[in-house]
Amino acid sequence: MGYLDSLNITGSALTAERFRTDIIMQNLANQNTTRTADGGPYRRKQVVFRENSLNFKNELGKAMTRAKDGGVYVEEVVESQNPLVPVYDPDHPDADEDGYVMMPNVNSAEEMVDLMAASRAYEANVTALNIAKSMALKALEIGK
Amino acid sequence: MPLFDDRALGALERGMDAMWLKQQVSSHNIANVETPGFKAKKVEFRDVLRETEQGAERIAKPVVEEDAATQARPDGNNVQVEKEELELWKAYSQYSALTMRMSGKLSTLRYVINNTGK
Repeated sequence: MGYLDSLNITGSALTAERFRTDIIMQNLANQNTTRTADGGPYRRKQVVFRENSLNFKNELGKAMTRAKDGGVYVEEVVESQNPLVPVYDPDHPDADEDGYVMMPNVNSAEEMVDLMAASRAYEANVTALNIAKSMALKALEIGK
Repeated sequence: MPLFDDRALGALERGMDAMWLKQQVSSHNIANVETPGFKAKKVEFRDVLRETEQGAERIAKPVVEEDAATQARPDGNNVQVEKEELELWKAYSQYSALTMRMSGKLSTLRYVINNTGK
């Protein structure tokens, strides 16, 4: 029986949600950054999750089913192509000839909502992890 | 009848395996709550006949199916976390019941082993 597989499933989700939180933090930290390594202002980053598909081997009889993988992983981090926000600030060193500075397309309210969703998803996975743990411990009590 | 080759023990074992599978599938669904286009999986039981030494036996075989019926969110994902948490607790309760019954079975066997011929 894939005793540790379900811990891996939940573990992959915890890692993915944690990474998502890191990216949200990165967005929030850079909401006023006008210079990046690639040049130009910072653009909002988003993570894209992908299912790590479950392959169940179905066999009649004992050891009927076994999870091969399962879980989730971060497939890529994409940059938002939403337009940058022009802000009138002629004193800014990055201002153009009309006095406008292109600011990052990060919306802090949007980021906070995403952060909350990531945090709730993380909690749901922690609950799942605890149940898997309790079940495994129940199996160890057999014969006591 | 062989002492440990009991049908009830085999049934309990299969039941525990099935509950473990349910737990894995629900964990997988919760893990993919934010994956675009993901469809929730569910465990269904199918009645099948199995050949044993004592003749044919009817068992419920768990199969993993995709749940395409429920309403999907705009991103195509149809995982309902509340439902999955509930499924997890159901699997846990049933698993606990099965382990208790298995312990009961084994303690009966232990009693027989320890107290015969005294």
